[in-house]
Amino acid sequence: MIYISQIVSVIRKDIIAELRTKSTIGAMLLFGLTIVVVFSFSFNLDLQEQKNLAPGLLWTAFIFSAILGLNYSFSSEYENGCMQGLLLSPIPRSAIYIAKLISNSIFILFSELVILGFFVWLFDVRFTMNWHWFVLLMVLGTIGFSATGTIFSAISAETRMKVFILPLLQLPMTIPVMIAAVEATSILLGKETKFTFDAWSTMLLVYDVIFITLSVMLFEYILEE
Amino acid sequence: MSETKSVFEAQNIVKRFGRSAVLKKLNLRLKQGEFVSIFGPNGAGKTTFLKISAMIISPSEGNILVFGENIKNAGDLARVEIGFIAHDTFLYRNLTARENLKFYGNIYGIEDIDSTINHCLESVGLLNRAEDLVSKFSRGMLQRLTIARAFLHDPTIMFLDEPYTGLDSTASVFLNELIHKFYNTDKTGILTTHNLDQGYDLATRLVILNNGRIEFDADKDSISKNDFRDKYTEIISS
Repeated sequence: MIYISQIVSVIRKDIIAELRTKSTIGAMLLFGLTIVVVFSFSFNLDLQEQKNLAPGLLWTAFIFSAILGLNYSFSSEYENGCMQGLLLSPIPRSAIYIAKLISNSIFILFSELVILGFFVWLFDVRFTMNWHWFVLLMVLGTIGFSATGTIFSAISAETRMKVFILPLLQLPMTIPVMIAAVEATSILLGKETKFTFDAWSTMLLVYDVIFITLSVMLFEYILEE
Repeated sequence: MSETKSVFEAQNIVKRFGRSAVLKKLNLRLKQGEFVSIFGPNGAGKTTFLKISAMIISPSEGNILVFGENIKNAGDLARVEIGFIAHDTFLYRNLTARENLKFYGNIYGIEDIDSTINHCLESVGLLNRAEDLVSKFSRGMLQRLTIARAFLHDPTIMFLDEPYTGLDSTASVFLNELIHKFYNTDKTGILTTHNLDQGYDLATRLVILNNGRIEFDADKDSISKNDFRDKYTEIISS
């Protein structure tokens, strides 16, 4: 029970600090919305082009804004030695990882919802299936991206070139997430692909489970090093 | 009082950073109620030893035992017994003083947390600033809140890494009071310091660490302050 209460404490702390500063979500929104606005001036998509291009454009905005947010994820922990304070306390390292994963996912999902709203409005996107499926896809994709992003953010947070190192580590590892998310979104927009929506979303789910499990097991060693 | 009970024990601690060993087979055993001052020049390994003792970093070799239990097995249970005041404050800038203490209190699983926080803030004279953001605090107030954070969970063993460095006079008074209260209740502490007078006055036992090795270890009663000063100079300059 204390394990869950410790996770909740870290998440609550992150949310309170973010609501006060709005620095992470502010940066992610500014960046993501700028990408969407630039795309909207560059592309005038008809219905057929929408099926082909919109998923890639949308997930590009999601992914780059998320990386920006993940860069800030452990910054507050390294100010004033707070990470040492956490390591000193009786919180299991896996609980720190899970808490940061949930905080990151919440911040990224929030900014994605706003970016999605602008994207749908500017490109007049029509989903052929129920939009609830797209929300499920966003949740699975975001968790997958955060699962690796959280661990790489912890690795890069104390390096001088963290803005460069995080995407360098993160992007190659999340290629399966990007492919699955883009393909599944194409299906939701009416494009026919080799695999079904269920197959792509199952692939995302499996990716999430594997990387969360691995990260939970490895996080203690990563913090130690 | 169980005078011979070992509360804390460092066994053959070695710590290497790359190829250089900062700590070389260091052994230290503390009984309940002992307050040890560790002296040594910069780079002697004092901070590294305290970080290993507080389980912030792991030793390359050796074991730390808390109440006879190896911390490799006891882990989180042993951490509850430990408090640490370091150079850093461990405080979140964008939280208030109360939110910071509540966060750490929840992590430590403290019951009756609100009254404990009020008591801690009162003991360092910050109760009236409880709802202020830490980023608005002066250096002295930060130091006092750091002291409150360290004593919040009522640790049995306290590690103090140069706690008086940069401390203003008000914070020094609060820290002195808390340290005296602490070891008057038969608890155990390790203090590292450059200040021979302050370290000598607070301690029950004196240790000199030099080049990663303990080169002097004696009860305070067995050596006068002047003799200890001479011994320290002799070891450091050898």
